[in-house]
Amino acid sequence: MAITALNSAATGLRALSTRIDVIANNLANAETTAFKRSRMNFEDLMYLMLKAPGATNGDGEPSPAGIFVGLGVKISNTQLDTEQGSMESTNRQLDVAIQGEGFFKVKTLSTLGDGFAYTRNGNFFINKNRELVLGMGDGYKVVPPITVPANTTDIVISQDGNIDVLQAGSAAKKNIGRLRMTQFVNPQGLKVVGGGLYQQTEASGEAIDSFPGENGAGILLQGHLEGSNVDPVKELVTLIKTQRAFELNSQSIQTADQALQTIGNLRRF
Amino acid sequence: MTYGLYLSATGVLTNSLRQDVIANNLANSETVGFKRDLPLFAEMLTEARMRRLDPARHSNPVLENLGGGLRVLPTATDLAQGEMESTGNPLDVAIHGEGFFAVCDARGMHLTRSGQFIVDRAGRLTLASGGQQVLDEKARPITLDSSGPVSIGNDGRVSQNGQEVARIGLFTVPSSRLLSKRGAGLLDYPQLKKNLRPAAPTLRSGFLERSNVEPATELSQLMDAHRQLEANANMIRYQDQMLSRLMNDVGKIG
Repeated sequence: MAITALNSAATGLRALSTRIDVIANNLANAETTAFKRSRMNFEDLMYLMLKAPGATNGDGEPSPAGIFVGLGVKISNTQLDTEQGSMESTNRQLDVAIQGEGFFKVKTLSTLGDGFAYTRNGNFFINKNRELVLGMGDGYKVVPPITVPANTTDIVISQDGNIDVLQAGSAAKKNIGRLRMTQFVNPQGLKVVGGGLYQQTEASGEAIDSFPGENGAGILLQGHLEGSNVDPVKELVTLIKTQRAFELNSQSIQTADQALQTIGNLRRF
Repeated sequence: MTYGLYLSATGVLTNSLRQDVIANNLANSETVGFKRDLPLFAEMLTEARMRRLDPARHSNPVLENLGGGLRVLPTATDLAQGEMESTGNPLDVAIHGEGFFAVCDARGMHLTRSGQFIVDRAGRLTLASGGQQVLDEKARPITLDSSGPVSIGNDGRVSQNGQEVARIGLFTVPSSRLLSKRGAGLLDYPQLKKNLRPAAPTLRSGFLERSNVEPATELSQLMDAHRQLEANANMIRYQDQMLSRLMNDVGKIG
């Protein structure tokens, strides 16, 4: 009955309004460093079988196909678009962008998942203990820790992650460590925890540690930050399509409602 | 007269079902790879004919000529090509032409047109929606590694680091009328393994096939279904009023 149509259209409205939420978040982060846009995927819900295929008709012949009525739509997932963002030059020594695959590993609060998180936002700072930390959040430390010695005048981070420093009163460069890179078989399965941080999940697979430029990991660019990969035009087009689809579903609701009203009014004199 | 009531009721019921099907099509107007269902109807045979009885003996010839009302035909799916939408994601693949991807899960093998792939933790090429494994041209699962970017060619070749790793299987079935929808973009077919036929449509990597629901068509159908439902409902009301007159007014004394 028309109740099914009401419910199907309601599933459409719900799913589409969630998609508007996702697009709004993408657009809000169009200027967030190393932000990765999410895409909402839909799938059709199960089908109500009114008549099974193969049921026999009056002549004793099995019917070749059944009667199925779909019950609407559901959100299957939000998929992280791991496409590279554009490189923005900042000329700051502790800004490091990853060109290619991979994440920086940082130590977060031990209460947050397994205590580690991964990010592509290489906007580093030096804390009061002279350790290399992330600029955002609570200053999460880079794993393995890198300590910048006192009296440092110049920091050079090479493409392969080696960090060399020049100290006051010394002409020779000194290597103080190497930035690592972590990869995942399925980076789209990572959990998004906000603040540009991602965490390992069952779906992403185990973290694979390597160094920049090795085993398919990307290279590092000092003095650059990775921009957001949100394409405003694409998002707006999706927003328009979503709004129209939303309106269509509200039409289904109105029609189903009128049908129910007509049926409800059958016995009026 | 009560016979007419039943005929009108079949009209209300089938048109209500038609609305359900259209509502589902519209709800899936943004679902990748979705194919619209066609609510098809036919004249229903009279009870006597359906039971293969002799109408002359078991029925009234006048009523026999009226038919049995309206009934729903088995669901048909419109397999027309959906539009191509560019996404730029190398693991998004659209089929252009006739054919399906074959996927498999614990419940067996299914067909789908939804080409949103993802590499899972074990390196298997799977559907992003339900995690079903995508099968190659010999119906075996496809496994990749994390060594480098994956690309999918127009003929279904999956390459990683410039090397061909697998070939995505593209299949058709002998009769598209026997396809039934399982939900989540999956289609079932009786004895699918035996009935798989290789197909050679063009693949487009970085694209997705949009739902083939046409809002204008669906909305006009929806309006049509609504008016037919109303007309039939009005007929029910007239006949009801007529019966009421017959019983309450005709032969009233004084």
